Amino acid sequence: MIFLLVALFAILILYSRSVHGGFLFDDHAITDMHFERWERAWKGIIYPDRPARFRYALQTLIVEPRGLTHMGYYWTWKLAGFRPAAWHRVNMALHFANTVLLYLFCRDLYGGAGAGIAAILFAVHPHQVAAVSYISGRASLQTTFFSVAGIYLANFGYPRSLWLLLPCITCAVFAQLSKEDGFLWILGFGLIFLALRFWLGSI
Amino acid sequence: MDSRIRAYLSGFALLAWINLKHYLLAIWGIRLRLDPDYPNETRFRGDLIVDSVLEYRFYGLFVPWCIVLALVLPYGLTGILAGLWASQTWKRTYFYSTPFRFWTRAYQEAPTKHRNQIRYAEEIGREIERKDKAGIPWDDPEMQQLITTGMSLQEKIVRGGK
Repeated sequence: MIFLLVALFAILILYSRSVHGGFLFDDHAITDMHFERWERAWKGIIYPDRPARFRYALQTLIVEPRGLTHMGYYWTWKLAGFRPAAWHRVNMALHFANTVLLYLFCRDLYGGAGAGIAAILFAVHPHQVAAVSYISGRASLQTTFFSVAGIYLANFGYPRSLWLLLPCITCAVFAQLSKEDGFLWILGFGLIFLALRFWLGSI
Repeated sequence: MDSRIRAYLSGFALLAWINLKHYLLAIWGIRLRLDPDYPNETRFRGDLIVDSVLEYRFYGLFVPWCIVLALVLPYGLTGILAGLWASQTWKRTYFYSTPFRFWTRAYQEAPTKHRNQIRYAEEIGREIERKDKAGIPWDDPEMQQLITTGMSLQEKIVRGGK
């Protein structure tokens, strides 16, 4: 747990400079989005008894590229408007969530301080700056979150019951809805983690 | 071989090589500046554009990479690595703190890219306006530097970016 607190502290300090950074480059496409259609799509999800609305919601989420990421943009806009700090903080929260997932997976894999160190390395790696500080990088953060969550749930569910693989499949779908390469990531992670399990003798 | 197929193949080979170079260094926290010989915006037939490496791609690659590093490296070395990487991260967030800093870096890294020239020129204009509103005098050295840079960039853009 102490490692996760260190990782959280590191993320808050290291990304404090870019929090108020404003909308850059492709981010302006977000400010030009028509959020009314996402509001309609959201209502279609929460009121599924209205068939036309529900169809519209499914169509918007599935047919639109990165539908789930845009739904996330809608909710950020609804709660915080276009204040850049709020948008950046959501990205930081997603990065921390990915760090936590990595920690949980490593704790199962090899436990001990190693899991914490892996989490801290991931949290502070300089390559991640582009994805975390750039609002449009949220698609990468989200797809990684659902991909790693899916593999973690598969790892957790496999010895217990095959039905526990259902949340894994849901995560795979969400990863794909977040970014076009979602299925590739979950496949890639699955293969890598199987290889790690085999190497560490857990299979 | 048809020249169009050759163009596609050479475009993809160039893109693959640039990304390979970039990510082999990036996994160790080293950032590669754009290769000066690299044609910053190359259009082939069929509108295939070879664009620069975008750094937010392969964010997820670092999940298994950090797992492997924590397994194979001794704890002392990973501690040093984490410290070095944290300092690199701190430096890089500087360039995302304002649009002016972002486009200044983009222009410095790829000065012949038309988009970078235009956006940098726009941000120089906004920065001059912001400093003027803040009451900074026009004969201030930083203000003069901005004006000079803006004017020479404007000439460059008019001349076609050369």
